[in-house]
Amino acid sequence: MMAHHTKTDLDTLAQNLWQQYSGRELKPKDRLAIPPQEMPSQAPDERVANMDEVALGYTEDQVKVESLRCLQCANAPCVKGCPVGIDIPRFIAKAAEGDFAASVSVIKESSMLPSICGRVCPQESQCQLTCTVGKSLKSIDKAVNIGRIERYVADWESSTGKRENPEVAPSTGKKVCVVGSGPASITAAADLRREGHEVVMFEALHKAGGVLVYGIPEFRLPKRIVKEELDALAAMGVKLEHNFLVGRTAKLHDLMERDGFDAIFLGTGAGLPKFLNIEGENLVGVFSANEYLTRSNLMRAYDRKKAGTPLYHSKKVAVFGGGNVAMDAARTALRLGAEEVTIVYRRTDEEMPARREEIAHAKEEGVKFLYLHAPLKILGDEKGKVTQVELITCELGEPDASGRRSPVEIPGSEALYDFDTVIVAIGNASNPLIEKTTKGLDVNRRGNIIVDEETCATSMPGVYAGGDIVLGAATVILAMGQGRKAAKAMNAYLAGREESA
Amino acid sequence: MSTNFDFDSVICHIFSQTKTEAINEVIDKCSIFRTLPDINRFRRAVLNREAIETTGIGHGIAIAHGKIRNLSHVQVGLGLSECGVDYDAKDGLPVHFLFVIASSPTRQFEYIRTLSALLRTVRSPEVRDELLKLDENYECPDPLSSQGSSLMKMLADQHFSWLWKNGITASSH
Repeated sequence: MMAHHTKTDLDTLAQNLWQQYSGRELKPKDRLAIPPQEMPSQAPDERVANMDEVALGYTEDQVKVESLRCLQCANAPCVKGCPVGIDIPRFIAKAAEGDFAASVSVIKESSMLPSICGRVCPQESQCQLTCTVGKSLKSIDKAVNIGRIERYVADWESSTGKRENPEVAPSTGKKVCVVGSGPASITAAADLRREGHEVVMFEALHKAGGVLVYGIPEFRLPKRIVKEELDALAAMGVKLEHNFLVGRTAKLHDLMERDGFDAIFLGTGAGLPKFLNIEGENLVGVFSANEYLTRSNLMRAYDRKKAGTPLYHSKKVAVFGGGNVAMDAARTALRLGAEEVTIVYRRTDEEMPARREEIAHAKEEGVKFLYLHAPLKILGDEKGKVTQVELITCELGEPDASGRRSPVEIPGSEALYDFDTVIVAIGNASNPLIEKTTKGLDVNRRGNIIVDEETCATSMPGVYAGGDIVLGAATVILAMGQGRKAAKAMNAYLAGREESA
Repeated sequence: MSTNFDFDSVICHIFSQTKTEAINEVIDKCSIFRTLPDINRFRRAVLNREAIETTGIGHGIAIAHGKIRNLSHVQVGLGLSECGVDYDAKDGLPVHFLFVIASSPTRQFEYIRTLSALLRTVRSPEVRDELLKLDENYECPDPLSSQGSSLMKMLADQHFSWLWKNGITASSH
């Protein structure tokens, strides 16, 4: 394992590099020679005992040095890797100059939520995947750290109080609502409000932010950042209704016909946990990752002095799955006081869908990894509490349709392992409530709402949808991109209605 | 410019930083060279020629070439390097435009004509800028200059001549 470097050490290194490289003409060769800047982070043994953000963010010298690594490619392959097409070389050039205000405004031309995307976007499979620097140095890990620069300039904007909310056009007299308050809905709400429509946001829970709040843990995405985005919406005049479950509190048709909404955006997300359907899954001590994370993130179970949310006291935790949610759940379990946490995954490290950084962080913190094992059943004691899990060993077979090699169980290799808690993190499906309570809304066999790719329009006139409810469990940036696309089409739809009225 | 042509077979982005690696990268990535009777012999021919004297002629341009027998026509692939290849060029600058030409000893006239046609286009700084802006699909968002589109057309057709027909002709000279 790599030795831990403190933020001060990393900053000193960066200062030296800055003196060495700044203020002179740099050839591509020189830029390639600048070492990638490591993200300062809390020391692993400290951070497992708190909920604070693990990655501390670059220092000013680090961000400027990292920005000098960008070759400013004329063909900008990074931009093609970005789902919302941020002008990446331009915002990095501004950051290298130290003009962070200009840098963040370049990002905001295309992205609403840079402080969030800088933290949770899978850059290594998007912009940084195609980066010329990474390709020239023959390692994706050596690509320009675009996300970290993005995070720095976005944080700079909010910490200096230079943040400006978008201007709102004069009232159009049209009324629209967005259902849900996650990344797709936040983006759509802002773009709709900007046009001058009255915008109401309906959130089923008592706290807004969707998956950003209930799903992603505090140590990866501090909730104050999400709150800032929601405060910005409120300042623009978006009305937020908590504890309003569309489909129960009011049906979609009610909202349109009775309450007079001219258009609706559905961003209800993928919050329905999937289970393995194996024996013992109903025992006490088995959680969906969704429930486990919601207790900790949204209900603040970790904050025992302030929150009354009950906490399940675990000693040995098994987490089933290998995605980001599995990593989040495992790392949360450690912070909630578990003595030993093991990720049980059917394939190997290589096939794990989680981000490399999350896997590395989990390992640093002491999460154990049991590869090539699949759960068969969960066993409990006479009180119905989990005591053991039966696992079977697998080997990798031929690649399946997704290109990953599929695990094949080895008969006779079943064995029992002691665990008192099981967290199932094998994915989420779409929230089914709106589909179940709305006639005329077309969904596919997975329960995802079917939309027009260009406009995000659903089968119902005036109703648009985006984010995980359309894509299945995907990423924040894709959700944001769809929210933006939908809002654009909705603004056009509403303008059209005005003319015909 | 021909829009439906698959430029992947004749143009590629390269990331190698040394001469030998860069030449090999162009030969590997431009699938047009897969039709050569013996690709490894061609590789050796190009590298041997390079050992005699560098083909980095300056302004970021290099024209590596090798001759093997029995080619029915001259074939050209182009590698574009954003960060530049350390090429030992005449002017000492890194190479951003690496042409690799396959020819036969019996096609000397066609080969010279090809060199001439290529150089007439890339000698313009405007064309060189345009080339670097080409994306993965090698479709330039802005309309190319006439010299630029002429180069793209020549690569697409693998027919290199400025003496004949189309757009820019010899008439201006």
